[in-house]
Amino acid sequence: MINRRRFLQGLGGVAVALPFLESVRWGSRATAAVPTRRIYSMFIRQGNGVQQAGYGGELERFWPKATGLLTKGSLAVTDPDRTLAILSDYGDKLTLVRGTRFGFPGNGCGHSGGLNQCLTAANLTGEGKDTLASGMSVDYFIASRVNAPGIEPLTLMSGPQSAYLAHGLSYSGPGQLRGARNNPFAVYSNLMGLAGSPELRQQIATRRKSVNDLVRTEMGDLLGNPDLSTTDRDRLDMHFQSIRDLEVGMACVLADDKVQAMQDIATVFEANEHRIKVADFMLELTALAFACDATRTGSLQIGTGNDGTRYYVNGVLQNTFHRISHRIDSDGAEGAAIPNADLLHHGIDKIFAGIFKRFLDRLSAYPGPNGGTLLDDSVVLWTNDLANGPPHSYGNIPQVLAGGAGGFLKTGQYLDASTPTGMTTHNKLLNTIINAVGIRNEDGSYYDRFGDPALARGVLGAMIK
Amino acid sequence: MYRLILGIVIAAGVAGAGCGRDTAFEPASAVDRFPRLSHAQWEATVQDLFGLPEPSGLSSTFQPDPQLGRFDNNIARLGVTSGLWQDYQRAAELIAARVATDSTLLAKIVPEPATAQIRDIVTTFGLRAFRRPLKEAEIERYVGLFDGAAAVFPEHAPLTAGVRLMVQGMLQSPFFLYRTELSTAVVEGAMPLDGYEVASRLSYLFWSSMPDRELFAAAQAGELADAEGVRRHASRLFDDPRTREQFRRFHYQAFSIAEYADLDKDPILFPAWRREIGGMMQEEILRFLDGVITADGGVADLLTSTKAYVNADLAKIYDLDGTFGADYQEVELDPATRAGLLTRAGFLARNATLEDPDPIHRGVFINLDVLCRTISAPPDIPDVLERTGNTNRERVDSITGQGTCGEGCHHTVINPIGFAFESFDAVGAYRTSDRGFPVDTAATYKFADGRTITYGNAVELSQQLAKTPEVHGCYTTHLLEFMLGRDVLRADREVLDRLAEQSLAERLSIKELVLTVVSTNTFRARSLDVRSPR
Repeated sequence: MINRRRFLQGLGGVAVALPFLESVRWGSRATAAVPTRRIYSMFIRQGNGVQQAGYGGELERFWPKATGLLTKGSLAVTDPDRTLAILSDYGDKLTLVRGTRFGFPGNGCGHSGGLNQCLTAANLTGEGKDTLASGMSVDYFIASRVNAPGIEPLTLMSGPQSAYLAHGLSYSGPGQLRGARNNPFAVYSNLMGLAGSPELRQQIATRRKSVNDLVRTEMGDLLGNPDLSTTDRDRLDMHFQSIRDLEVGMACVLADDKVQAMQDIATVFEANEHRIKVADFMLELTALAFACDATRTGSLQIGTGNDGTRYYVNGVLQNTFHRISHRIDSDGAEGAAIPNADLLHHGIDKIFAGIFKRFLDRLSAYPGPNGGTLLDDSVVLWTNDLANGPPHSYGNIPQVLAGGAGGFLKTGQYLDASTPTGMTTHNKLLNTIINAVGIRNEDGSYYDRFGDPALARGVLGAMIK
Repeated sequence: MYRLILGIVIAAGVAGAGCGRDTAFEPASAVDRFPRLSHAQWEATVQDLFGLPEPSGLSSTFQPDPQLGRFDNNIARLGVTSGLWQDYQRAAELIAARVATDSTLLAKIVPEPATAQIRDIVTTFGLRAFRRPLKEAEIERYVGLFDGAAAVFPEHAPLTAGVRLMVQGMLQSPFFLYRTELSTAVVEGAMPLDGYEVASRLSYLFWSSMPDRELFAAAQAGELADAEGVRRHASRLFDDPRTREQFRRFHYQAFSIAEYADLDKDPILFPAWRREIGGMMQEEILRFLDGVITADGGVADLLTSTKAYVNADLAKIYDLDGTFGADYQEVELDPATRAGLLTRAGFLARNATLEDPDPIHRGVFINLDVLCRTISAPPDIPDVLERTGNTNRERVDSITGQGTCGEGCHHTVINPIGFAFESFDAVGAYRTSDRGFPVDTAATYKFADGRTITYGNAVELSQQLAKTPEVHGCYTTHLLEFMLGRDVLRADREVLDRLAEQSLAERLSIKELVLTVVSTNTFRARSLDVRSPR
């Protein structure tokens, strides 16, 4: 038990054999469409844009000065004043992509329009805060191809469930917004599964099977009802498909003090003061989930749609991030100017860079399935639903990737995806990630059609080795 | 007259000054019949089903539902994903294990172990778990579970092992997790729900939980087969203290009271402000709304009553004389400055910046959530605009008023409402001047159909809103959405028109509005068009 814990915490330094049920799961899902290598992906979303050049006289404080090669430690030397310098230790494992844009204009609310398309590359329906994406998000798409049947992507949030704009990142289909877990302790409880001896777990599986069979019969009775509405049928069918027998799996276990820390905030995890801590916990749990192969993809939304978190910058509790991103003391278009708002926005960007870096630290501490670190076998994206503060543009979205996806990606570079005709729609970036986790067209060519069919197809070839 | 106006409001398509449209209805469609229990309903149901002394707390670890629709019981939110299925499985196993090892809980399911018959256990517990009598095949299935139970739970006596497996199964059953409405008989052009289905509709409406013993007995005795019987039992449920909690939940969501928490104010301008005051404002407004219901008040009272429940911090904001402590005590506010919920500190402080009132957001909220008037989403934010003027009102008007790009929505629809509240500062305290200049709270508001109202201040506006058909139509629409757990449909229009009219003309109390709804076929029957799949 101690060995496994150490392994799972990444402290042991030596991988131990996977428990028997792990191999059972993989053995039971051999289909041609499933990638043969285990590559993990994670999508982390910051709101409100980043502070970058392009608005008024604001200086560039996000991107490095020049595109080209990045090496370990290089950003700290070449661009110490930029947000991304915080990731300098991972220079050789980064892919920084400027020059992408969203494909569709927002419907009256930049935040909502961006939030809903940043992982879907889909067109939008509805308007304002009621905007929904008309397509599946990339995390769900990947999960449907690389996870065991019925295993969803991790869908996580740091922030309140109820808000003017709440969670809006992950979709299982057009208009099918998914709920996000925002309580780290609950995520852990769900991941942990069952511990115990193989005999005990087999016994649990047996009694679960008898209950599952009975419930399936009952679901079948309901589904056989002749006058169900389509939505009733869809809802019951999704439930029916969710019932799984082989869910005993490998127990994912964290150290007791870490679990205690999550439990300590189990009733106040939505509070402003815990926003960063919860984000860190969620990404720690993500790394754990990948390490024990509970799921291979996920997403994390930090803050609500127009993130109103009050962050500390320079040790001082600041106005809400949303207002700072507007540069005025208002959630609308008019209000008193916030002094040095661009610098405060830059300070908040650095907080997010720190969250991302700690996630990379965590992924680097685990061994990956293919011989390197877990980060080497992953591709993780830190993105945004806007490009910048004012004017909340959809052009030049900050796309920061880390991890080589088992050698697929050409890491260690800062590249510009724009072409002589303008910026490239970000569906090509998502297509590239989809290929990075091993998904291809049936003929073996690159998968190139994620997102709205109106968008030009393709991948970002410069990202690929 | 009222019906005519409401018809215009609700019928859709009447644009107001180029600013959005007014529509309250989704297209007619089949009504979904299998609402899943919301997490709050699951928690309350499990507590009642097993007689737990406290809520289990397990629902707090469930996969949250997405924010779709206004209320957390909206059927559009309530799917079972594979993550939630796993949560349900874990919760069912934990509850079942607890029952099997807690003699008090076990005795509620098996009172006489020595003489207990498995079939009786299944039948009795199953009726409460499924909220209806079990069919013969269902009884056999669960009795069958007892057979292998001792082998998988060798630590228990065989009967206890069987109960554990039965509980584990029933808590994962669709008949527990969904409120299934299976009636198919057509009677006089409608498809009435059977007594047990009506009982569940009532208990979940008022308590977010399963029927109590009396309601089950009424279902069995056929007392819920007609409108009068339903109304009689609904009246009893309404008067139960548990119902207060449910209407707090309704108002909390209807008026976005969650957003009062975590408010911050400028510490120099408002040195007495503490973050905790946002929570106090939530409590105050919920007590106020509860007080209106308890006093048999109606929609108009929500907008005009001067009764308030304040503690020491709130008393300061309301400038009340007297001695106040941490507890909330009932007071009367000054009728010259306060009238109803829109003049309460929570709404005013929520819709304010750190320093100033925010007339735009105050106006938007009232248009959207009190008048149910749709406003087009604003254009993407422009570059920072140069504001001019002495007062907050003048500054806002300088960039959104007549002659600006905001003329269409702001000048006639949003600002006139918001400006009426300029006499309340960023924490909701009354003021007569702003930056040394007198505040101006007079305005004229234009409804979607072209009618106008003119008022001198927020009290006059609230009193006029209390007589406005749109306000009654809006509240009753939200009430119906909450009561039915779904968006309103075209088929609901007749009921809604009647409710709004009675609320306005007859000043029906909120309780009477609720009892009126439960007496209708909308509540007691399935609509016939559900037989055609969408």
